[in-house]
This record gives sequence, C-alpha cells and structure tokens, in this order.
Amino acid sequence: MMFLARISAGLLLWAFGFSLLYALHGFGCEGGWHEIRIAGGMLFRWVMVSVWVLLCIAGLAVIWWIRSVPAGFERRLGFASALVGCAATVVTGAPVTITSACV
Amino acid sequence: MNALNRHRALTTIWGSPQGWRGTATSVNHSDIGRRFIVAAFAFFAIGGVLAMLMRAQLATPGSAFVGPEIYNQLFTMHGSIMMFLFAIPMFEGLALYLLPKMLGSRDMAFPRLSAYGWWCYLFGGTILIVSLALGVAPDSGWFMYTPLSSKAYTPGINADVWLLGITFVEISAVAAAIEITVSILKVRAPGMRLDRMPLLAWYLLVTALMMIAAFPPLILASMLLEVERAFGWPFFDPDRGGSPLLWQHLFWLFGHPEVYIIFLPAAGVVSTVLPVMARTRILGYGWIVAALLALAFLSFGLWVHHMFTTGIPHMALGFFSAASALVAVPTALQIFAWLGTLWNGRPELKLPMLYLLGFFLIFVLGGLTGVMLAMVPFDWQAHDTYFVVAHLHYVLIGGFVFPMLAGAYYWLPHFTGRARVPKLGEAAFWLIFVGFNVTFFLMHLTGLLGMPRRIYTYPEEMGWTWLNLLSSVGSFAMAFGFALFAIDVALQIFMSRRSRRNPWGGSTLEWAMPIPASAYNFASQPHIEDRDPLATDPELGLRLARGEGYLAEARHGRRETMAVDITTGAVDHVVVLPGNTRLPIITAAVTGSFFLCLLFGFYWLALVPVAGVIALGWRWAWTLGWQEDLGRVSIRPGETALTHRETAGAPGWWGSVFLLVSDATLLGSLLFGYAFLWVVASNWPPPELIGGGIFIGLVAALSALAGTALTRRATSASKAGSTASASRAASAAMGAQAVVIAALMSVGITELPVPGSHAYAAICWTLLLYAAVHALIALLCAAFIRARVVSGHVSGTRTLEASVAQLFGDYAGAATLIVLLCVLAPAVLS
Amino acid sequence: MLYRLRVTITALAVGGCSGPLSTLDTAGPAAASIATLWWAMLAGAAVLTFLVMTLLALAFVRRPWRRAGGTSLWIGWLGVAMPTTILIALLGFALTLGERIIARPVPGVVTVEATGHQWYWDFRQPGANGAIETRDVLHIPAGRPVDVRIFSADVIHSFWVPRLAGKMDAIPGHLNVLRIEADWPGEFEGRSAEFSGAGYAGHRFRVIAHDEADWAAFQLGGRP
Repeated sequence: MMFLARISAGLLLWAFGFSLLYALHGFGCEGGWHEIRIAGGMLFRWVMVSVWVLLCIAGLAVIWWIRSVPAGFERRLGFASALVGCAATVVTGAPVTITSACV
Repeated sequence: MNALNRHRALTTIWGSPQGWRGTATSVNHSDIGRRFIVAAFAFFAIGGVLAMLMRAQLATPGSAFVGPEIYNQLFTMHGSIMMFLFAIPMFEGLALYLLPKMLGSRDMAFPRLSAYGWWCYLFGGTILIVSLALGVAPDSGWFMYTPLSSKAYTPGINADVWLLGITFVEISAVAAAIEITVSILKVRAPGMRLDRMPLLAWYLLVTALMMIAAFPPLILASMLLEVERAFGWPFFDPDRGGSPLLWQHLFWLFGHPEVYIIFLPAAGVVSTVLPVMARTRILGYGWIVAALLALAFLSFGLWVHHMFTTGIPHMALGFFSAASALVAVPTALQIFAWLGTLWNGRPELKLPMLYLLGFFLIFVLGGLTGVMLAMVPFDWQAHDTYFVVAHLHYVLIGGFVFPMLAGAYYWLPHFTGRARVPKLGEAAFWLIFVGFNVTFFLMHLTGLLGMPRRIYTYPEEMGWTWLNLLSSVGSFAMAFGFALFAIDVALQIFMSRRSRRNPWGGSTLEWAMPIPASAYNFASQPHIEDRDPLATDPELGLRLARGEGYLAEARHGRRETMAVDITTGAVDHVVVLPGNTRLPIITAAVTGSFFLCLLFGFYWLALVPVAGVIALGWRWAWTLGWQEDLGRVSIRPGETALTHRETAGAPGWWGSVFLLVSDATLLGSLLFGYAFLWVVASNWPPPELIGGGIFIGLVAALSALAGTALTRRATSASKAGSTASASRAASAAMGAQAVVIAALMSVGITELPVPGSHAYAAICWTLLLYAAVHALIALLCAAFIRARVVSGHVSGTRTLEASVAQLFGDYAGAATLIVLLCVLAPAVLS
Repeated sequence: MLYRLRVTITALAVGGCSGPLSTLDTAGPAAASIATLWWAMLAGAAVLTFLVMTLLALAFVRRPWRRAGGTSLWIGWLGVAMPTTILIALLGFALTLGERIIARPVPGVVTVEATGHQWYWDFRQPGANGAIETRDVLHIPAGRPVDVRIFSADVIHSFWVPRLAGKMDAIPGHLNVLRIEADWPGEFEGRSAEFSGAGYAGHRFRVIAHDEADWAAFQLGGRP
C-alpha cells in the first residue's frame, strides 16, 4: 500500500487539487463570490488563483519530498508521477486566470 | 518423479471433470478465461448484427426498414453490448487466461471469484439479450439520460432491464478487477520484482485499479435510478429537489475512465506483441509505466467533456478541457515508444504486425479527433453528431479491436496448439481495415454537415445521403471481414497442423510451457532474474517441466502456488487455492434471481435471494481453512515457507482491502451526489424538512465505535489464542452492530421526511441504509469469527479470517460515522 | 486578416461543405470562429498523421542513414515535449476563442426564451404589444447578438442552429443561455441535438433572421 501511495503521490495531489478547484468553483458561483469586489478584483478570482498557486507550490513540495525515497525503480516512478502531477496542476488550473467567472 | 508422472499428478489436482459437471464446477483460470473470450466474441457478433441493421436503415433517406421504436432499441443495445458485454469481458478473459501464465504462476488469487464473475456475466448478458428478443430492450441510449429514462417517460421495463442487467454484469467486472489487482501484486513467480514484470501486467494492474475506482459511480447511479423508478425516490427529479445533471456526472465519472479501461489492456497487447514482431525489446519500459500511472489519474479528470453543452460555466469547462488535452501526452508517449521500438528492431510484416499497422493509423486519427473534441468551442458544434460517432469508433475499434485482433493471432497458437491457415487472416484484415475506414472516415464529414447521432431517419435535402450510403456499404465489407476472421479461427482450431512451442520467439513466460497449456500451467514455478526470462534462458520451459523450480512436488491434492512480496518479489508464502466447486454457479444463480425479482417488481420476494446470498457467502468462506496448523512447507530443496492462512498479507486480506476501496468509492460518489444537490439545487435542503436526531445519532455513533473496538478486541484475543474471550468479544460486537442498525433506522424514521417527498430525504435515507448494510456486514463478520473460533479454524497462528473481519469492522465504523456526520449536518448547522 | 482568411476558407469550403445544417457553411460569428478552429486543427492533425505514418513506414525500410535513436529522442522530445507544446498552444487558443463566444453581458442584446418539448419548441419574446409566442419558428434580428434562454418542459433537449452557433442543452430544472447571431437576414435550419425518444428524428425548428424593417414589423405583431 505504501508502495502504491509513493509512486502515485504527485498524481494523488493533482486529483485532490483538481477536485478542490472544481468544488470551489461550484461553491463560489453558487455563493455569488464573483459579485463581491475586493482589492481591485473579484473575490472569486482571488480565491481561485490563490488556491491554484498554493496547489502548484504543493506540487513542487512533493517533487522535493520524493527525492528522499531510496534510489531505485520506486523513486524513479514516484519522481515521474510527481513531475506529471505538478505539471498537470499548472495546466489544468491555468483557466482560473483567463476565463470569465460563472458564465 | 519424472516429468510425465508429475504432469499426471498435477493434472489430477488442477484439472476439471469432463462434461457438464466440469462446466458447472470448474474454477480453473484457463477454462474461465476461454469462456469469457468466446462469450464476449458471441456478444460482439450480436452487437455487430444490430449495427448492420442500423446501417441498413440509414443507407437511404426516409427508409421504412425499421421504425423509431425498434431503432432506439438497436442503438441502445449496440452501445451497451459493445461496452459491457464485449469490450470489458474480452479484456477480462484475456487477463484471466494470460496473467498467471505471464507471471509464472499457476492460477489467479481467487479462482472461485473468477467463476462467480463468469456466471454473473453470462446470466446478466442473457437477461439483456432475451429482452432484445422479446422487443422490450432498453431504448433510452446507452448513457440512459434521465428524465428520458425515468418512469414518466419510459414507463415499460426497458430501462429496468438496462439498470439491473448491467449492474448484474458489473459485479463480474468489479470481481475481476479485485482479482487481477491482487493476483498481479501478490501471486507471481519468486524473483519477479515489480520492474521485472512483463509490461502487459503493468497495463492490467493499472486497468484493474481504475476499474475499482470507476465502476462504483455507475453502480451507484444505476441503483439510485432504479430506486427512483421503483419507489419514487426523486434523486433526479428537479420538481422534488433532484437534478438530471447528477445522473450525467455519475455516469460520466464512470464513463470516461471506462474508455481508458478498454484502451489500456489493448495497448498492453501492443506493447507485448510489437517488440516480438520487431525482434527487439520495448523502448522505455519505465517511461511507459509512468505514462500508465499518469493516464490512470488524468482519465478521472475528463468526465465533464461529455457535458460541455450542459451549461456549465466556461472556467470549469476549461479545467476539464485542459485535462482532456493533457491526457493525450501519455498516449503520445506510448505511440512514440512503439515507433522507436520498431526503429530499433528489425520488424517483420507478419499478420499480427499487419493488424498493429492498422491500429497505428486508425488510433492516431482517433486520438487527434479526440483532441479536437476536447476543445470546448469545437465540441459545442460537434457534440452528439456523427463526428463523435466517427471519433469513438476510431478510438474503440482502432484502440481496442485492432490490437485485440493482433493479440488473437499472436496467442491463438497458445490456445489451440496449432498454426494458422495461410492467407485467410490477411484477407480478413484488408476487408476489416478498408471497410472500417470507408464506414467511419466519412462519418466525420457527415457529422460536420450536421447529422446528429441517434436519429432513425433523415430527409433527402440535408445532403447526407451519399455519405450514409457509402458508410453502409463499408460497414457490410467490415462485417464480412469479421466473419472471415471467425472462419479462420475455426479452421485453425479444427483443421490446422500443430504448431511448435513458442512460434513467435516471444520472451515472456507464457511461452515457457507446452501448448496448448495444461491446467496447472507450470510443472514447477520459475525464479525470475530479469524482464525477458525466455530471451536469457530459452530452455527454461524444459527445466521447469523437469521440476527444477518451486513447488515441483504434487502433494495432498492441494492446489499450491507461490505468493511474493509486492515490490521485491521475494518469496512470501505458499497460497493454497480452493478446488472445483458448484458454489460459484449456485451463488450467481441466486444473485440473478434477486435481480429478476426486482425486474418483475416482486420487491418483498427479493429478500429471499438476499438471504440466500448471505447463506452461500457464509458457506463460501466456511469451506476453506483447516483446524490444525500446516506449519512451514517445503517449496524447493532446502527452502520452506508458511502457507497463506498463517501469514499476514495473504491474498484474501488484500482482496478485502481493495473491495473496501471500491466500496469507499461508492460512498464517495454518494457523498458527491449529496454535495452536488446541495450546491446546484436552490433552497436545498428546504428548512422545513430538516429535523433533529442528534441524540439518537450519538447513540448510533457510540455503538459504531464500540462495534469496531469489540471486533478489534475479538481479533487480538484470537491472535493471542484465548478462545473464550475472543468469542465473548465477537458476541458483544454483534450486539453493538445490532444497536447501530436500530439507531440508524430510528434516525430515519423519526427525523427524516418520507424519502419520496424530496431528494434531500431520499439521499439521506440512502446514506443511512448504506451505513446500516455495512453494520449488518460487520455483524455477520463478527458472527463468522465467533463460529470459527469455536470450531477451531481461527487460532493464534491461523489469523487470516480474524484480520479480514477486523477490516470490515473498521470500515463499518468509519462509514457509520461519516454518514451520521452528513445526515445530521443540516440539523446542527440550522 | 483573420477575417479575410475566414472568408476565403468559407468560400472554398462551400462546395462540399454546404447544407442546411452544416457547421462549416457558417452564417454567424460564433459558428465562423468555430469553423476557423476546425480548419486549423484539421491542418495540424494532417501534419501529425503524416509525421507518424512516415516514421512508421521508415521503420520497415533498411537504409544506412537510418539511426535507431534512444529514449530521449523518441520519448523525451517526440513523445512528451512536442505534444505538450502543441496541446498547450491549442488549449490557449481554444479557451480565448470560447471566451468570445459565451454569453457575456454586452449592450444591445436581444433576449428570447426557448422551451423544448417532446417534440416541438416554443419561443417567447417581448414585442411592442406584449410577449410574442411562436412555435417551431424563432424570429431574430440579423446582425445583433441574441441570447436564447433555454428551458425544457419534459426531457433533455438541445438547441442547435449549426450555421449560427454551437449547441446548448435544455435541461429540466435548469436555465441555460446561448448566444447566437446571424450575419445576414435569411432562414436557418435548427434542430434538437439531444436524443429525446420516439419523435427525436423530426424534432426540428427554423430561425428567421430579419433585416431592420422586417424586425420592426415583426415586433409590432405583423408576420412578414
């Protein structure tokens, strides 16, 4: 079980982050966050962008953490999945910056 | 013992009786695998005939060949059969037949479960086909969108046939997934580290893990819709707080991973066959494994791309569009790994390679149109048109059927022990390949010209006439091709000359045995030193037949195979597998009668088969095990190991873990439904419907904790060898679980409105029932442990059953707490 | 520039790609942008298919100049770097294009309501003398953006006028909005694009785009 967790840690983080962004999007649009203006932007955009940035940083942290796994097939696999997870978080979350909110 | 005597002794132990008795009782993986493959091909033929009828209808505008009532059944059944009765079972059959052979093992981890899965598949498929013959087949499309499939718009049993029949078949899919996972992780030849596994095993492992997570949402959705249809619980009815979009989310949460679940095993076949055809090793083994992991995860983030036109805001569509585009990268990685392998080797244009070339062209085109459809604006136009029909057939026929045909020609000598008849296979290939492209390439244009899928006829002036006519002509050519393939296979089975061992020069273990394979696979199990065992040691098969490996001794009539440490492949223990039995067929028949009771509306009568399944499940577990210790047994000269009941981490324990993972995904999907309705529907839950129930809830929570703790106590006492206190703790655990069930039901009865009144009540009731069912399972586990402690099957050394019971006890406790938290949250918050 | 390209492509395409429901024979800005996206993706797909097929064919040719190549070339560059670059560029292009199509608030929008039924469409819009209701024919002004507010009375349908814009589902219990616009006056074929049971094949409607004079007359209650 630990083996499966280590080789998929980065991707698990992506799955978590992806679900979190989608859930926040649902709550935000339902709760009218896009109609609240704060610090020169809408609350909705602030929340989405900052969560996305935090997730990207967490992705980097997983890459860093995987380096401590003993060398071998397991580490190479874990490292690849951490890289993929982090890249996927960057790309799949990127729409928070350019698309309109709740339309 | 010489090789021939060993063969006889092992065949007596592993073989099946002749005739009907053997058919009904065999649990051997080769038998079950072959049956899955033959049945899946039969269903493929039926699905193909339905497609031919559709093409006949669409060949000309305004055709009067069939009306919409029949046509709607045709396309619904074509899709359902090809997805659920052909593609998944075909892969299961291939996995069941090949996996133990490729892993150097003698059987799968749970032979009776494979047999049970087979009978569930056969009976469930039969229900669907009978409904087709009687003209009451499902007719709401294979994705069964509500409200079209709900009682108001489909009053007949058509939709029930789909919901119940498919769920019945899904049991076999989940069973196979758990079995494949555990077999790959644990039941391998010693020395086979994870990075020495054949690539196909990696593909199948990833596929099986995906199935464990992807099928529960569909099973849940089907159960909810069936309950809505049967009892009026309004999960999907917007007038009573439900949402039709919930169905779409749950369906596609299954439906998109499903596409990769179908593609990955076939890609595994490509990765196995292609290097052999190119007389080299695969390029980038580790890269491909990493790509598979990425695919497995990313494919769960695509489901909304089937819902781009449902009015979801553009930002959310952007997430899913990005994920859908990204998923093409690991696929492209594999394509280029295969190309690089071909460049590195000396490829020969043998028949399997011909099919692989067909796969390359078709699948690349299908992948590219997939990327197009992942782009939101283009999907707004192309969605639900023939462009999508073309795309999905390019992906599924290109990505599944062509590799499977390559695999069929590659492994047929293994099944039959014979070489193929010359020329026929090539003719079949060209008919299928040309027919396919004529049929489906044109459909891209038909779709762009605006032809929606699922219309039974179209007017002349739309400009689709000649495209449809050509598609129909092509489809008949393709059908002739498949018929020719079937003839070719039949000729090979019945008429052809015998083949030599390892005819292709493959380097994986399935070729290290005489063909056709014997019931026990390996007379002794190998020790694996690298990834291509036959390339380094071509004489391996002969050495194993001479008994120069593990478990060469046939003893006590026991079916023995080695289990290893998951990562290192070091010897872990010996698994003693159950032999032939009628239990699987009987249990499947009783399970089937449960579904039939529901189908015909005999809801109270359905409790009889439920009781039957519980009794049979009890017997299923009871007939295994021993009342004395086996101790360490010899595995090869000078080496011994314990048997699986006397060690931690036996296959049964791992199987329970993955079953519970699957179960947790089901609970997760249910909680998603709860949260989804809360967010999407306005005024949800309606304040006037919210009750209290905190006190009874606390009672339920405390007894759930007590039940879990007592089950743990019973387990630890039995491990410590104190029978009396173990059995006392187990009895107390049973009592605690009974209190949990009573308390959960009284929360529902006293605090919730009737479930038919509002989706909020319906989903809370479903959560309570979920927890109650798991409390009942934990109660039965505690009762079983009590009985086994008393009978002497569970002891301080034979701990497997107690540790499994503890898993179920822990899960029931956790599930009850989560459910109570969700059900009582509105009362606490308001 | 982009506009001129679009016009040329449309003109070229009209030969084989015209038809009452053709997504390529465009008559509105949304449909035209999507058609541009399609032609761009088609060109890209053709190049990539040609690349893969050439590499595949060359694998069977034995020539001294053919080098084997290792994982960094095949997997690193061709398998990962190339598709990732192409996909991210395409994704950015498609998302910005989508932003132009969605129903964001703009001045001068005409709003109409469309309700899908098994198997007809009811349309309702404000007129000079109260609401105007029509069945299976939707009247809009040409050259102005129109927001169609889409409802369903029974099962799921989908509102689709391929020559003007993409489709949007009509889902019971939900309101969806689709922006359409016709570049010139005329009649445009529409149909439901979500399977809805026995009468689905005939679930069609028409959109009539009026010039300014006809539109004014229509709003006064006259049927031109």
